[in-house]
Amino acid sequence: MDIQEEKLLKSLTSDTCLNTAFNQLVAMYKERLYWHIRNMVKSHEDTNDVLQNVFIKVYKNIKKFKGESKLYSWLYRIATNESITFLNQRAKKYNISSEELQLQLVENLKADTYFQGDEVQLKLQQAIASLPNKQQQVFNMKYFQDLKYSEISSILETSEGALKASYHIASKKIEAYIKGL
Amino acid sequence: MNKKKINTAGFEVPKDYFQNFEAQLEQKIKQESIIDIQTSSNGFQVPDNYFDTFEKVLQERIDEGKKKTPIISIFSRRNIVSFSAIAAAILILIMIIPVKNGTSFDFEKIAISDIQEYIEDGDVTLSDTDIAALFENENSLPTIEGNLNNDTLFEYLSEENIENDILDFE
Repeated sequence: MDIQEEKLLKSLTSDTCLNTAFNQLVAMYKERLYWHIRNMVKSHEDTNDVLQNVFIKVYKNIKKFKGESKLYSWLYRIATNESITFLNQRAKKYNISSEELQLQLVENLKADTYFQGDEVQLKLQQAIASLPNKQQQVFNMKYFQDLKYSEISSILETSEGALKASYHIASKKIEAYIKGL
Repeated sequence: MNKKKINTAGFEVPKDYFQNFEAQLEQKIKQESIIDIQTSSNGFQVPDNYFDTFEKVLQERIDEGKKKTPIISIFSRRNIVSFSAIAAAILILIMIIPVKNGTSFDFEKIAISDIQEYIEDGDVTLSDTDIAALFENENSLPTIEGNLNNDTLFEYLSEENIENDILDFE
């Protein structure tokens, strides 16, 4: 944990500095977490809901954070879990499998005001949606967010070797999917 | 660098080829080596000023959450007034009921019509057995003495209007 993070965490656990420190935390991580969530849930409105829930959860539980892991990996873990929970609830609501939901979410992008991707980008999203959940997460974090394997490892609590293998397999599957279209 | 005259040596290129080259190349790169492109641009967009106003919106939601679960002291002035009013009402009721029951009560003062109305309203339900039990040791029922001739019987029935009683019984 670096000095800046340590200082921020100390402020977050102090009643007098909580609000200021929390605003600082939000300013630091809102965009990174937004894109992390957006890559998973796809629509802006849903991402906004999940992101707010993530920060509310952080606000309520910040004093329970013991500093055993890095702050960013803790935040990313909450964001990942909240996104997965959201997707599971959505699938349950519509009585469809998570795989069907993924395809539906990508299909919705065609009419999404906040998606201006071209045909190739849409194909890429379709290809990602065809992957198993874990491979999707690894691919999104590596390809779109350019996180290091060490960072992804601490977020997903998976070994770097396994992550590299996942990313490699995911890349090959996506390549095959796009070429096959 | 000055643009030099290139000798095409008779070779020709399709019309507008160089003008469209960049666009074609970009498309080709995307298709051929899409996996190697490290970019955060994935087509997703965000509303204008979304990140600028995010903290404010979030703070409103946090404040809203705090308002939803307020901690109200049970000893607040409002509660004390409410509880006092309820206690006073109960006390008055307790005081009123014995007084009402304690008033002198005399069956003689009740009109027969009131009792009939009370029974007809269904406030009292008596079975045939209950009624029979009431008359079990009763000697006050009129007894028919002597011979009852037909004329006397008809006279009685016509006076008592027994039809209604039979219909009621059915």
